[in-house]
Parts: sequence; C-alpha cells; structure tokens
Amino acid sequence: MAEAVALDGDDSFHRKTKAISNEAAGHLKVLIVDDDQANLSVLEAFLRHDGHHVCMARDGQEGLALYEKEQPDIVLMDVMMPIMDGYEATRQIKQKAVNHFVPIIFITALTDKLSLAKCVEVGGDDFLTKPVSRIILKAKMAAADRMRRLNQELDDQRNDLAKHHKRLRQEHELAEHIFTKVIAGASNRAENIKVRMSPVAITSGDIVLVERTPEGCQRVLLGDSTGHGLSAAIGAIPITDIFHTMTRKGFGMREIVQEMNRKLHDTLPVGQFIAVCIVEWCQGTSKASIFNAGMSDVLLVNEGGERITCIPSRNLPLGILSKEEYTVDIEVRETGNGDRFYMYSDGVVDARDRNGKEYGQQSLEEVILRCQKGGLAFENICQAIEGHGSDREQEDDITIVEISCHENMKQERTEASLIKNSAMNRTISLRLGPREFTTFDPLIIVELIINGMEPLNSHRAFLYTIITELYANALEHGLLQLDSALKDKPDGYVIYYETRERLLAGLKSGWINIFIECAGDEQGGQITIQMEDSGKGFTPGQTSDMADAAALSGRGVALVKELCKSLDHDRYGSYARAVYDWRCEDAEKLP
Amino acid sequence: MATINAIDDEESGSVTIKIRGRFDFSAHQEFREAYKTRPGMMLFNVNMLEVEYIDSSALGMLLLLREHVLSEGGSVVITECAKDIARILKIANFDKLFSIK
Repeated sequence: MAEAVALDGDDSFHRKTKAISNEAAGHLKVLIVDDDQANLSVLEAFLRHDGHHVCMARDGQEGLALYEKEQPDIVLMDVMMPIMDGYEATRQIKQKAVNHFVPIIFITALTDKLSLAKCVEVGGDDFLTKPVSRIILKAKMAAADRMRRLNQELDDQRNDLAKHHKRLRQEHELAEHIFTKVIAGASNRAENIKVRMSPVAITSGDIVLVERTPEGCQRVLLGDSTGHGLSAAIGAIPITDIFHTMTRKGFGMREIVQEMNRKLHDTLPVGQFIAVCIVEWCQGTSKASIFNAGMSDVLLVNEGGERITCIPSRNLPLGILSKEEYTVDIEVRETGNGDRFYMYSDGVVDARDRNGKEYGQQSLEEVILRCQKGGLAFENICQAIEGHGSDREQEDDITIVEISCHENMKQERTEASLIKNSAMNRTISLRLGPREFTTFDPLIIVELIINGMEPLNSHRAFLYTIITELYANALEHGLLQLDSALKDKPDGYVIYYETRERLLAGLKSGWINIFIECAGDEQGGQITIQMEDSGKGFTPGQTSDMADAAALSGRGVALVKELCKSLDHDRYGSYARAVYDWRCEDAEKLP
Repeated sequence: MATINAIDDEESGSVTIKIRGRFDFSAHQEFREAYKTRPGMMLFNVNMLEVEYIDSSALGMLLLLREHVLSEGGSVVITECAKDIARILKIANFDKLFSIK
C-alpha cells in the first residue's frame, strides 16, 4: 500500500496495520502536545482507534504539567507552540525522567534539516513530518515502545542486582553474628594453645575448636570452609556441635571424623566441603595423633627449634564422600617436652606481598625456626606473616594455631565437667533489625539451641514449630501489623503473603529481641524462649484455641500453647514467653 | 525450603502430592498450583514422609486443599507423617478433618 495520508479511513489499511499495533505497541498511555486543535483531534482519533489512552496539552508548559500528572509511556510533541515550545518542553521532560526512559516523538511541520536535527539534539528520540502518515506513525510508535520496554527491562535487572547484592550483604552480617557469638564463643581456650585469626572483610570461613577428652587429652580442630558467609557458617555449626559433644563423651578421633563427614555429606550442597585438621595431644604420654583432611601441612617443631616435621594431608576434605566411601587416616607422632604443633589455613602461605609474591610454606618454616629461639615465637610468626601482606588487601582468611606440648602443665580434668555443664546451661540472645528480617531464618535459632546438646535432636521439629510461630507473630502481627483475618478470604493466603512481602520490603525500623535460656542436663531440661518486638502489639488469644479446626487463621498461638508447658503474653501482645520442657527420649540409643 | 512434586494416576483419578523438607508459607504458590491445575481429580494423597518441619501456615494450606477438593466432591488423605509431624497435626485436630494414615 502506498503512503497513506492523514485522514485515510480505508478498511484494508486498518486490517493491515492492526497486527503491528497489537503485537508491538500494545496499549499505551500517550501524551500529545500540540497547539492546533485539528492536529490534536486527528492524532487522538488514530490513537484511540488503536486502543491507546490519550491525554492532550496545547502548549509546552501544559504538556510538562500533564506529563508529571499522567506519567505517559510515549509523548508526541509539536515544535512551534505558544508559551513554551516543543524543544524546551522536551528538554525539561527528559531532565525529569532521568531514572526511566520516556520516548518523545516530534511531530512537526518543519522540514529544514537544522530544525529536525535540533529535535534529536534536545533529547527527542524520533521525528515525523506533517501531514502524519498513519502507517509511519504506527511503525515509529512501535519502535519507540520497543526501546521503552528494553530500557524498562534493563532497569528491572539493575534493581534486581542491587536487591540481590543487598541480600548477600545481610546474609554475611548474619553469618558473622553466628561466627562471633556461637562458634567463636563455644571454644575453650587453654594456656598452651594460641590462636590468631584474621578473617577476610566480613566473615571468616575458618573455625578453631578446642576441647578436652574425658582422659584429659587436648583436641584442637582447625577447619576451612569453601566460601565465606552464611554457607560457610551452616557447615561450621554441625562441625562445632559434633566436635564438642563427641569429644566430651570420650569418642575417638576416627568416630568423630566419620560422623562429621556423614553429617556434612548429608547436609551440604554438592561442591561445598570443609577441610579440617585435628591434633590431639595427651599430656604424659609423649604422643600426639594428627588427622589432616585437605589442610596445609601440620608442622611439628622440636623444642630447640632445629627440626620441622611436616604432616601432610592424607585424607579428603569432609562432606565429599559418603560414609561408606570415606576412609580415615590418622598419624601418630612422638612428642618431646616443649615441642610445638602449628596448624594454619592456606590463607597464610597464599598471602601475597606487593609484588604478588606468595609467602609460601618455606618462608613460614624459616620464620618458625628462626623464632623458636626467642621464646616469643607465636607473636613473631604472626607479625612476620601480617607484615608480609600488610600493603595489600587480604584475599583469604588467615588463621594460625600453635599447640605447645608442655609436660608440666596442671591437669585440668575438673574443668572438663564444668565446661560440659556450661554447654547445657546457656543463653542465646539475638537482636534483629530491619536489615535482618528479609533474610533471617528461624531454623538458625533451632540449630543454635541444639548445637552441643545432642539429646535435643529429637525435639528439633517441635522447637522449629514453636520458634517459627513466635517469630511469625512478632514480625507479621507485631511489626507489620498484618491481620490474620486476611487469610479467611478467598485467595487470602496469596494476598496475605504478598502483603507480608511488600510490607517487609518497606520496613525501615523496628526490632525483635530473642532471648533463649537452656537449663538441664543430657537427660532433660527446660528451654525458655522469650521474644519481644517493637511493634504496637496485637491481641493474641482471641482465636487461640483449636475449637474450630477448619478455621483458616489463628492456629499458630494455639499450637505453641499445646507444644509448650506454658505460653504467656504481655497485655499488648508484643512480648511472649514460652517454656518448653524436654526429656531425652532415647538415652540408651545415643552413641 | 520445601519441594513439591505432584504425580497423577489418571486411571484411578488420584494425585500424589509429595512434600519434602520444610513445609511453610514459602511453598504456598507451588502447593496451590499442585491442586488447582488438576480439575477432575478425585483423590489427593499428601505424602509427608520427607517433611522435616511444619508450621501453622502449612496447616492452613492443607485446609485450603481440603476446601478445594471437597467442593469438587473429592477427598484428601495425608500419609506417612513422621512422629513429630503427626503429633502437630493431631494437636491441630486435623485427624477430625482428614484421613491420616
């Protein structure tokens, strides 16, 4: 079909162009700015016919005001108009729309090249000359709309990326919290064991654990998770738990390693694993056992500092092979009074100086030998390593542990039982702010409670339900002021959780305090969970019985009540205290 | 998080919805899809063998399933619950609403 002119009403033309319009241009909101009523009417008729929404202005200034009010998808702009011309209006609209893309198409009677060039110069995206051809207008609108969509997609992707980044950072912060409060705190230091940890920026993937066996031997574990942050922390929690609990119960290294490997193999995602080395030294026996799975060589230095023995890794890191496939190779070494063991993460030897030179195991060995004479060996070694990398950003976690085999140390058998006791009787306290809410997982609290208290494992499901319900109440009803009655409507669940998501994303302030006290021994005990939030409160108890089993809401509080010995709220509903009694159900079945 | 698989048995007109892991609100869309997209199916078997954790929002979702299926004249069976999960269902009086096996 030949060029159509302004008032073409031919049917075949409509059929032919309809496809273009529906597929590409969709239904858009179009702002037309033109001082000529006839032009406005013609364009309006075209656009409305194609299903677009139209708003119209008669000069640049009015156009600008309408642009702000209506937020159109596309603007059609005349050039010469009273009060404010199309060039100026375009300039100002583009200035206002810095964060999103609004195509502006000039529709002008001007045909000289300079005027048309100026349309693009001031920020216009395209131009059309009058009289307007219907086909060309449609095609240009479709092209402009494609551009608009592309820009929108780019914008969305950028926002997603920013959100993702933010979420990652929050996870890291939470992981750091777990590391500093739980894992670092759970270790028992001794006078002959020195530890230096310099984690990378936010969170360390390294863990150091120290525990005593019932015979009074010292067992020290250094672990290095793949990755950092929350994923590293998730692997570290079971390691910590198994190491402490089984060592205190008198299990041998082989059994502990097998159990750690089994647990990690079952829980960690494929591709994630933990390298560990364990040194067990027993005062009075002149013997040490060393297990090395994927860590750098463990170094044994004699008292005089003349000789270094390397104990290389002879095992695969934990979490890769199944229980049946995994074999454990433990080495036994003679130790003399004053000998020292060094365990370190690969961050130590990988540390690079300004010229990119790695520190290397040989340099480390040299420093260790040189420093043995001075008596302040450990401090000097740490200084030497840190001095090496001090002018560069640290790339990996650096952890180094020294165990001195002093035969004349006091035996500390009594302390072991004290430690055991304190693992059972302890408190966990967390304060969550708006940055934590989007990523916080109540399961972490369950892990923290169970960590080190193996008999509690069989109470895992109940503890999860109790804590999830209390947390959901504090967050959804306390802070977000969501009404559970929403759930009773058709599609209520979808609406409820969509609203939750939206409110959560907009939450800028508020906190939830969680305070947990564990008391008892391995046979049983009591866990008191207190949760307080900064919200305005809600009314618990109104619907908190199970009389109406089929009701769609109000079940959470009742569940907690049934599972716990007691559940109390303050009268505002922003504080809850639940007491959970537990007994070891299968004491005889425990390892 | 939970994973949800639905397997149809066209011959008997039954669907097995298998839930694994942590059954909570994060699964609500997937769970809803599993029954809304199966008109004409009469028996819904919810297999909970591999459910580790459950909360009240999951109970609510089970009720929504029940409502939907009953309105179409069908029935729901919950099977293979672990001991703790079964106890939570019992506390919620779900044994009066569902056939739990």
